[in-house]
Amino acid sequence: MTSMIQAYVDIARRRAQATASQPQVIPAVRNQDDFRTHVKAYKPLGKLIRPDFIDIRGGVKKDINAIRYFIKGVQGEGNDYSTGRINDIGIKLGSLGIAGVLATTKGSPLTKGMEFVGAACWFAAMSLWPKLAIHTPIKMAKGVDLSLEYEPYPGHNKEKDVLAVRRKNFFEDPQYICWDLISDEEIYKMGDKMGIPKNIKNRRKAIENKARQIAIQGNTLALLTAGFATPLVASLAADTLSRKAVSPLLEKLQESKADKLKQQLIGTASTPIKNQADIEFIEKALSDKLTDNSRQEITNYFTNKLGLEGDKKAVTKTINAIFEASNNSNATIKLNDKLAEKLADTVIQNVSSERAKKLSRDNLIEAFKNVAQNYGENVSEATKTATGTTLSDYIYDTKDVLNELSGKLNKDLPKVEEAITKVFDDAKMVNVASPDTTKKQLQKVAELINTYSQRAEKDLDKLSRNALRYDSSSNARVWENASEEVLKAFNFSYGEIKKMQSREDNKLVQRLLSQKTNNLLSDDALFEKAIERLGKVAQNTSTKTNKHVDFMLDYVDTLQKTLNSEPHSSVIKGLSHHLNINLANERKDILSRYLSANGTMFAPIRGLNALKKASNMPEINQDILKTLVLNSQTVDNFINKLEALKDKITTQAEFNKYVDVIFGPLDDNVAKMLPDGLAKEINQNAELLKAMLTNLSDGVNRKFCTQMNQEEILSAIRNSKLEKYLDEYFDVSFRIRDDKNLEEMAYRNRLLDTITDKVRESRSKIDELKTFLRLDDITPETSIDDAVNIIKRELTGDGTLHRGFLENGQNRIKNLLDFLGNDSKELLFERLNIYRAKTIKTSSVTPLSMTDFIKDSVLKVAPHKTWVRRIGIAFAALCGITAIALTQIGQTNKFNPDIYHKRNNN
Amino acid sequence: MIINSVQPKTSIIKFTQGNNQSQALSLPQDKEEKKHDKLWNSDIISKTRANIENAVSIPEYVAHGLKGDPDFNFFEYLQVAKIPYYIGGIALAAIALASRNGLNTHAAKQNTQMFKKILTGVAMYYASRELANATIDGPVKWFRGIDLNHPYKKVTTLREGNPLNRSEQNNQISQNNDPNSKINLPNNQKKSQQKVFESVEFTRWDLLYKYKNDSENNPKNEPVNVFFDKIAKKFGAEKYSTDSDSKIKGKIKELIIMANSWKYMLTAPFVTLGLGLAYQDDLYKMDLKNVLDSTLDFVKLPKYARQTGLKDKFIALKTAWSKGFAQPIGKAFVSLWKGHTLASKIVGRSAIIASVALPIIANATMLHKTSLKNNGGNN
Repeated sequence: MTSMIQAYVDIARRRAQATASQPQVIPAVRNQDDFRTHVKAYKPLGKLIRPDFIDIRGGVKKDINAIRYFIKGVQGEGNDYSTGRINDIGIKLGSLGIAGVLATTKGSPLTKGMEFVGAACWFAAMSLWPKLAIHTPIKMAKGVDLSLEYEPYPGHNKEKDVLAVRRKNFFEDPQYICWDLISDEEIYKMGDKMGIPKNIKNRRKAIENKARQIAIQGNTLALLTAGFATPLVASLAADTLSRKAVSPLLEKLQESKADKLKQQLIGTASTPIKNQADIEFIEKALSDKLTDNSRQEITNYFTNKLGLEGDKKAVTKTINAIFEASNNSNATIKLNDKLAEKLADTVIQNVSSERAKKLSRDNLIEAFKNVAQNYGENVSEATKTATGTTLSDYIYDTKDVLNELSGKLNKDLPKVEEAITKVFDDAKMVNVASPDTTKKQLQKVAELINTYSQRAEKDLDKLSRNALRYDSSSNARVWENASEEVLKAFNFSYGEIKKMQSREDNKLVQRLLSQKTNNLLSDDALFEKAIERLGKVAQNTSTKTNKHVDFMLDYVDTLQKTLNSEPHSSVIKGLSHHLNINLANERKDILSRYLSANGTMFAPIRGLNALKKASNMPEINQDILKTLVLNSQTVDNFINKLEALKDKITTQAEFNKYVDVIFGPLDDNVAKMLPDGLAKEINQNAELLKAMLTNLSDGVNRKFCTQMNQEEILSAIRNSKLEKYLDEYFDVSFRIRDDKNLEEMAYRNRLLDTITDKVRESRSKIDELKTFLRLDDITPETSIDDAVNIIKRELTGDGTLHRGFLENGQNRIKNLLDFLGNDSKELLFERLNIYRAKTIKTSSVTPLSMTDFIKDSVLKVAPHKTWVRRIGIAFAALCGITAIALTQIGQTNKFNPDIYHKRNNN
Repeated sequence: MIINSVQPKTSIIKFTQGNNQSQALSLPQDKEEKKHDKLWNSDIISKTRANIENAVSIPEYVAHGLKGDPDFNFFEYLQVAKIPYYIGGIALAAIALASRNGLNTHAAKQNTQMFKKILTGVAMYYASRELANATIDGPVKWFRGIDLNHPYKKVTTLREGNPLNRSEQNNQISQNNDPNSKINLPNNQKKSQQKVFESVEFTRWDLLYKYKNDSENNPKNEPVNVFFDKIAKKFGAEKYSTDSDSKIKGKIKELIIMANSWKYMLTAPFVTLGLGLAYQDDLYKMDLKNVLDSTLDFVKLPKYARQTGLKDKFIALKTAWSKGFAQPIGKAFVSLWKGHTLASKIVGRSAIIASVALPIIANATMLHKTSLKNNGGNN
């Protein structure tokens, strides 16, 4: 026995020495033919591991061990295997770091979250691709499991020494495969699968060689494909996860977060904010001597809390009112000897010593006293003396003294003047009726400003940030989904979607949409399917939007109540009124966005409904209707289209017909195809849009945005007569926003020329113009040329008259157009164009038309569709190439000639 | 049973007689099999050459691997593994570009910006990993004299029956051991360029000894331990000893383990920093074209020196480099440091601090641990 062991040891050692760089694999490689007949092999002490397909536990264990290897490694303990594992964990930690640093760069919560998901997908793809695409088919076809792992015999207790733990891939190093760990039975089974002939010499060795060939080929193929497969699979997986799992999850999280925030904010909205720092500031400011400068300081302190210039002005005005100051100041200067002395000293201190010698202090004092004598004891801007002199007169006179001295002051004069001004500023005392009242009023101002700036500017912004915009990031998934659904509802193909991205052909989207709409209208089943699809997605988006709008309106209402919780004194009223108007504008903004978001989403349903309904109305021109339906959502679009159709729609009644069809209630059949409640929602939205469209500037609208709730708005609209809207609608189009618009209008559109041409026609025209333009300068004696000049000046904004023109602009322009008569229709439509250009900026109600919605959807969806297609094709190509390569695995070739010798059975 | 602890004893040098009479007195027996292995110089040119030779062999390795060459070994496998490492990054950037089409100009514009960032990020990733290695390799070579990337030519004998083994047809074995020669290899061998200190278990000590009468590797007939003697001084050995090799081999092994452990771990902060910088907008204010132009302009200077003057050109060069190169990088660092949210501040600062501090800690501990002075090695 001993000799047998010795023989084994010797052989093993010899072999080990011969293959010098052989790793610690136990037992050493043997040629079975050498031993088998003499010595029975020892049971191998290494361990074979067959990992699960997804081996998370093993992976985590490996990572934990890698950390332990690192701790050992930095102390100088380790081996090649352990340091190799540190490489793996280093890469993983690096990827975590990358995900972390990318997630904290600017981006939406989705992109931030996706950095981690992406990193995880990358590692998952890296480990799964070879298993799935290489190992599994090879195992199925050839019986060789390339995922197999083994642990060499650690030599001693591995529980105590982590460095003894080595878990390696069985086929990792083709030169040192630990075949002893695999039983004969298993090897022969493998051989059967590979098709190694049964009756050959040394079959086990032959099978091992074939398996090695397969392992080398498989591993090489895995490496070659991994470079492409890992990013492809990872990005496809991450994309799918992002759409199907991460965004819905994030959306829910955001929603619940938003709900919490809402509850928290609505809870605080009803309490005004009293800030201790402000109270302290006011105390301090009032305790000191109240000069004009300190009033300015107080004003600055408060205005700095607000962002907008208009708000700052309102605050300044209020604080001026509190200090009873006029536009400049209510400050008073006491004119006593002290002041005269101070002035004299100031002059002397601010001139060079040489010049100071030439000046007599006493003379100066005398001169200043002389000036003061004319003004009595106190002088201020508000209280005029009998002689009509004021504070500024006094200051002027005092400075005049300096001018008399200018010969002596010479170059020092500006410096002295500056110093003197400062003396006056310091001397200017502010009158405060009662310090207590002032304090209270200032505290109230602080409270109003704090409450407003915190609640309306910061909190409201937090709430509304993008929440109502159809393309905002928090709604992005909902709207991206909607975009896809809308394109599907109209049966757009990928090719069409791709083409529609182009900006070169403006009419392409409309042409294709028109074609698709015709298809839907001609087939009832298709029509129903489309409406159902659109209804479902519209329900989704509008539910979300409505929920938010309801809350926002509640919030603004609460806030408004808080600001007006107690009656304000007359001085504060101005500010509170201003802030109320701001809130009313917020409300208007919320409603506008609500109308825009829902209006966009409902447009396709309403459009299809209108076209279907009108298909058996002979009085409606289908082409005109279609043009309007596909384009008419905003005032802008509507007017644009009307302009194009001005020859076809010539009367008001005709216009009304189209308005009624497009914005009328949904057909009962269509309403039935929609989810519950949606039809009503769509009808209400249409009514509101109709009102907005035809009645933007006046009447209903103003009330609509400031005082009424939604129900009231609707009833107001229902009570008003639609027939009137056309008239109003033209009126709207001449809303003049500012001076610049007017100038542009006057110049750019040749209005002026037309008017002056008219004026030159007859004298009576001048009189006509004179009355409604209120041109008092024009008398019967004025020549026509002069009159024309006066009119021109009036219209182009040269001089003060211009402002007056603006104040009543609408009616005046309307009169002007009446004056111009019917032959100026061209001109009129040019005005509309101007209006259009301005409306885009001024009106926040901008629902997209059907065409625009489709275009927008295309731009949103197409890049991703292209991406998925291309990545899909690339991935399919990779799979194909891999499959072809897999067929070559295990085949006979020049390296593996597969020559077997028949076994001699004797 | 001791059978299982049998180890290849490569580190034990035996001065026994081999069968080659001419080198019999000096070359150890187990060196015989590796007598074609050859140490390269550890200068940058040799290393670059070794890297290039390995790189150009990769297609050959791929071809052999795909056919299942029985002599395909683990080194070749690792060489092939470089393909997915680099292809992966390029493919990732290319995937970002895949949504692009000429029709959607707005999306294409955004896409270009994203692609630029991802491409920069990928480049930064590779650069950061190299930099992480350099922060360890440099000091180790400087302070301890050990070049962890010291290349050597490894010659492997092909097994019989391998079609690449032409020894049967052409039996003339050439003895030319020029490390750069490819054609003069014996016909039954293949070569590769590997690193002496790559493995801690199979460190190629044998290549570091100088043997008597080995005129090629030891023309000056230096003593056998000359390498270890030099290194021992760097390790802080105080007095000369005849067995410097046995004294510091353990230390070198420790050094290799520590260096590799740190190198791999340093990957994490360095790639985080690299990618963090790649995603700072300031970095893209670089004007490399201007930098290049002004540099070329400056290089051309002698020709025009009389007309324009050295000073102006130098100032132009300096401004171009500082504005087009140094300042954007500096600003990117600053904005990464400052962050725009608390989280980004924390991540950015951690990456910067870790990338500066960890290499210092790593090198300090390595030097401390491997110093013979600190660890009683001189006793």
